[in-house]
Amino acid sequence: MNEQLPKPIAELSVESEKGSEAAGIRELGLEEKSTLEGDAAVAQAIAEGVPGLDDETESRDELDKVVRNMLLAGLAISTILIIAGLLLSSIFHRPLPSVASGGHQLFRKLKAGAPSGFLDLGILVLIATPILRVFGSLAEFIYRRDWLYAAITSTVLLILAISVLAGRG
Amino acid sequence: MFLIFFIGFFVGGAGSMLGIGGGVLLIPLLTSILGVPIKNAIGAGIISVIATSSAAGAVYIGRGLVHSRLAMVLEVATTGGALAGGITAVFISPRLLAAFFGLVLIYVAFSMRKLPKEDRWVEHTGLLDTSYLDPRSGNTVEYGIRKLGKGMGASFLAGNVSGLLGIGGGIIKVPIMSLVMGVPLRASIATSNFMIGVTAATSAVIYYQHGYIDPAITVPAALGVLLGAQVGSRIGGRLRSQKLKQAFQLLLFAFSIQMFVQALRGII
Repeated sequence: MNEQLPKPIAELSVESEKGSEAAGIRELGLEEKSTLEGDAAVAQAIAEGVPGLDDETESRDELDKVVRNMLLAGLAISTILIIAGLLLSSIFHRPLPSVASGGHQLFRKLKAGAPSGFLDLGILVLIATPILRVFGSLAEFIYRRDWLYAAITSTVLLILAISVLAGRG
Repeated sequence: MFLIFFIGFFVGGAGSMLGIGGGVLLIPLLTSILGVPIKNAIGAGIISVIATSSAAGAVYIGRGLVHSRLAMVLEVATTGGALAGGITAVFISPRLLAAFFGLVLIYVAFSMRKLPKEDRWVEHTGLLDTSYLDPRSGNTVEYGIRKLGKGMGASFLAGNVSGLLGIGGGIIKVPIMSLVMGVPLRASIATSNFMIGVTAATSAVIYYQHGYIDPAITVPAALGVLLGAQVGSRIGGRLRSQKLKQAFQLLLFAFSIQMFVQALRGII
């Protein structure tokens, strides 16, 4: 029951976010009809901007919440890796290399426990963070069967893939 | 190392107070004070941009200010631009990069005039209509998108400049979004900041593979910018920003001259 509750709230509030009545009615599926009255009131209140219902605590969109958490997680992991790398290299008095490594070289470094390996990995996680949030959006769009936006999101990912390949050599 | 951190902290703080990214100042400071090669400075800039965009994007999206769908549409253009820019930057001469950078600095200095606070034409257009809750007035602001084609063009240019020079590109996108596309200023800034991360990541993977990401420069710069931006956005409202802005514009002009000198060094 608990797992089923948040979705109608999010979807309803998306509708009120759109503001357009026609679009709202068109896109309101059968699922929303079973929404509890309380949830509808919450969504309504958010739409009307009742003070006290802070939108920071009441996320209006499931998609937004997924993306937000991915960004914060990526940022936290990369910061931890980078700080670990900095601390380790200052403890062991290892000079920092002037080129961040990738692929096999990075793998070897990490296997050997070299401090700069943590740094490089931290930088890579940082670069990967916004890319992963695009994957998160793609998953969410597919889950909602929003094929147009799934296609748009895939195009962004395609460009990213080209850039990974184009960067070689 | 600590000097780089402080430079990052300074540009991150000043940038966030003025609503522009730190990259425009970070890169000339690194090349002029520390003699960092321009492509490595751009590499450090692009990573700092990813860090600040991820942090700011998370905050803005939590407040419901980001138009996720519009962002995704425009990201097709920004990442395309960044791909072209990143490839170009890796292959062209550092001198030419410095000259481009000088030009962009002048543009930024001039474009720092205040954007009108009042949002004109904020209404439904039937295209990507959305809304957000204005935290100050408590009202729900509803708006739709117009002139998507122009927006895509500007986004491509912004992505291109970002990929080429390692800056965010918000300075190009925000005015177009708020003045042409009918996106309220708050939402423009939030959406632009959110988009910058994936734009920067596109060219970052190119810089990374070409060895222009130097951890000894990138790491302290990115941490500094990230921390500076946090501090700057907290104290930003309290400072009289007019003086700060003029000082900043002066700095931008000074650095644009410095960049041109760098571009012409050895030629004349």
